[in-house]
Amino acid sequence: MSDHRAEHDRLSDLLAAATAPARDHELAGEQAAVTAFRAARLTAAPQPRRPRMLSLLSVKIAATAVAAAGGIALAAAAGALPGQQREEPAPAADTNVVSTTSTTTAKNTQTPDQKPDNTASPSPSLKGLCQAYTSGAGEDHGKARENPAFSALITAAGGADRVPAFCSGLLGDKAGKSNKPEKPDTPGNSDHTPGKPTR
Amino acid sequence: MRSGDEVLAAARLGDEDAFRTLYRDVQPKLLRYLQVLVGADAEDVASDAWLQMARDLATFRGDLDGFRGWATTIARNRAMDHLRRQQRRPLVPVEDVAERASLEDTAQAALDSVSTDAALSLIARLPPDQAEAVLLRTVVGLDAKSAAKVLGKRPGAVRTAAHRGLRTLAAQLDAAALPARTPSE
Repeated sequence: MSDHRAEHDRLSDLLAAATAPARDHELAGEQAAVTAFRAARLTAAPQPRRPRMLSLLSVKIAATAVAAAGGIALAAAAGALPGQQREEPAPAADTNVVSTTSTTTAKNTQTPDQKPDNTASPSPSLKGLCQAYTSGAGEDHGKARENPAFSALITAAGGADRVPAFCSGLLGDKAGKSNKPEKPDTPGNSDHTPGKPTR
Repeated sequence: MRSGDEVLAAARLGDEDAFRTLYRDVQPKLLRYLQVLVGADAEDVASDAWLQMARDLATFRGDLDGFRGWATTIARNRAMDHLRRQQRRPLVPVEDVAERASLEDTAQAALDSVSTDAALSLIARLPPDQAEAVLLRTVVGLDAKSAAKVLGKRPGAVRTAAHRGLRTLAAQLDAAALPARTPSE
C-alpha cells in the first residue's frame, strides 16, 4: 500500500533528521575535552609500575611552584591598583611550607626555558585545565571538582573554592579584568554586551 | 586512513588527534541522547562525561563498538547523577507537563521541518523506556546487546521497546501528515 510506503518514508525522514551529521555547536566542547585528555595524561603516571605516590608528589610540587609563580604574577598585576589587594595570592600561603619562600621560589621558576621535565610542564596545562574547568560556565562544577584531572588545578589554586578566582587570574592576561564589566563611559560602543546567554 | 579500532588504540595511548576523532564521532550522538534525557543541561552533562572519558580512556578495554557503549554508559550515569541532584525524573522536562496536549503539534513540527531537534522532541514524547531504546538503537547506533547493557535490561526487552517506539512514531507522523484523519480521541 502506498499509504504504508509513505508512513515508512516519514519515519525514515525522522530518523535521518535525528541522526543527521554533527552541527557545529554540538562539537563546541571539543577543545575542553581534548584539554582534559591532555591533563589526564600529564597527571597519570605513564608507566603503570611507577609508584603512585611519586607521580602525585611530583604533580603537587609542580603545582605548588606554578601556584607561587601565578601568585607573583597576580601580585604584580595587582600592584597597578594601589590597595586593591585580591585574594588570589593567598593560595600560595595556604599550600604549606613553600609559602614563606614563595618570592624566591618564583624567581627560580621564572626561568621557564628549562628542559621539559615534570616540574616545568604543568604551567601551560594549568591554563588548559582552567579553560576546561570554566568552559561549563555558569553551571555548577560539582562533578568537575571531583574529577582527578583537576586535582592539580585545585591544589594549585589552594582549594576548590578558589579555582574560579585562580583561573580568572590565570586566564585574565588576555581578557584583561573581566570580572566586572562595568565600563561606564563607552557610549559609542557597538553591540559588545559582555553578558553571555545563560541557556 | 586509520580504522576505527586503530584510532581507538591510538587514543588509548594518548594520541590527541585520535581522541578528537573519537570525540567527533561520539559526541553528537551522546549529546542528542542526553538532550532527551536531561533537556537543556545536555551539554553540561556531556562535558562531565567527557572529563571522565578523558581520564579513564587509558584503562578502557574493547573495540570501537565497545567504546561507544562504554561512552554511552558514562553519559547516562552522569545524566542520572544530574537528575538526582536536581530531583528530577528523566524524560519529563518541566515544560512538557504544561504542553502535554501539543503532541500533534510536535509531530507536525517534526514532519514539517525535519530538523534534528524536532525529531528528538518527538522521540522524547515516547514512554521513557521506548524513547531510550529508540535513541540508543538509532541515534547512538548501538546494537541491541550493547543498548541492553547500557540500560541494564535484556536485549529482548530493548528490541521490543525500540520496535514499539518506532511504531508509535510512525503512527504519530502519519496522523500529523493526514490531518483529515484525526485520531478519534
